[in-house]
Amino acid sequence: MNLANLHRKLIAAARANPPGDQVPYAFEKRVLARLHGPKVEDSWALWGRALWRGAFACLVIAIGLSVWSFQSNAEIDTDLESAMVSAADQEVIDLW
Amino acid sequence: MEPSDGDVIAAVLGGDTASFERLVTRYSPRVFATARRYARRESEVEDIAQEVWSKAFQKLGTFRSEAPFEHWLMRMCVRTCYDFLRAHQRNRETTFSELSDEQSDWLERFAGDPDNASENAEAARQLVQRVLEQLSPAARMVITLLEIEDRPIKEIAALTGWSLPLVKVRAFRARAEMRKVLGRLAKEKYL
Repeated sequence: MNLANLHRKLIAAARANPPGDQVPYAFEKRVLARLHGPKVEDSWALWGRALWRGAFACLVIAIGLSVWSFQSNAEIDTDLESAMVSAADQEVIDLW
Repeated sequence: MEPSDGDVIAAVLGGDTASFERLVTRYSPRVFATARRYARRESEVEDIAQEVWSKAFQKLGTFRSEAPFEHWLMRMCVRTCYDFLRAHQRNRETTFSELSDEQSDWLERFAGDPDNASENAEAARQLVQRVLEQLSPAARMVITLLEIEDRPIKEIAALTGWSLPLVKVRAFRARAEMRKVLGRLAKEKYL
């Protein structure tokens, strides 16, 4: 089977049968109506915009939390430490 | 006397949007013929044509009269067809298991006597359509423009927006891809 020959033959078939150029009835009227009609919002674009806004809000919150945690770092450290080791402290006290 | 494209475009840009209808009527046959090379269903063809005209209307202000309007429009049309192929590439068929009897007969005739298999046959036309549908979007675009429409590389670069070396590389890869698809067709049909 000569594939190069088959390739040539099929390309020749495509050349010999070009697609038709007929235009559906009143197509130009539909195009104009669409151009003048109310703008239909693309649902994906709406989603995209909402997600970008959400991402921006999350970023602002994350930055705010980071700043707050840096400012009150010492206090949190002490509270966290006492909360974490309270059980161990109690055990040590009980042992003594 | 029919107004020239330049006059119509100036009128549309001046606010007479109804004049745009003249351009749509004048060039829609070319847009439809191009879209039919890449989409099979008429509803898809019409969607592509609508998209092309929608883009043309929105971007009409960027049209520079140095080149004919038709060239500018066809660039937009080819790029819209390429976007369509890329958006639908997941639906591509990957096998030739459901060839019609006519298509199988044509292939068998070709295998028996290549010169006797007519390229004017409807089965050959359907078969080439099925082969093209199995190519990647870039390969299908290049094969169509370069081999079927017989356009020069430079024109393909202008139509697609690809650089000249990229068109050449994609043409090389497209021919290899086509050979692979034809090889699979031959193998599946035990020719």
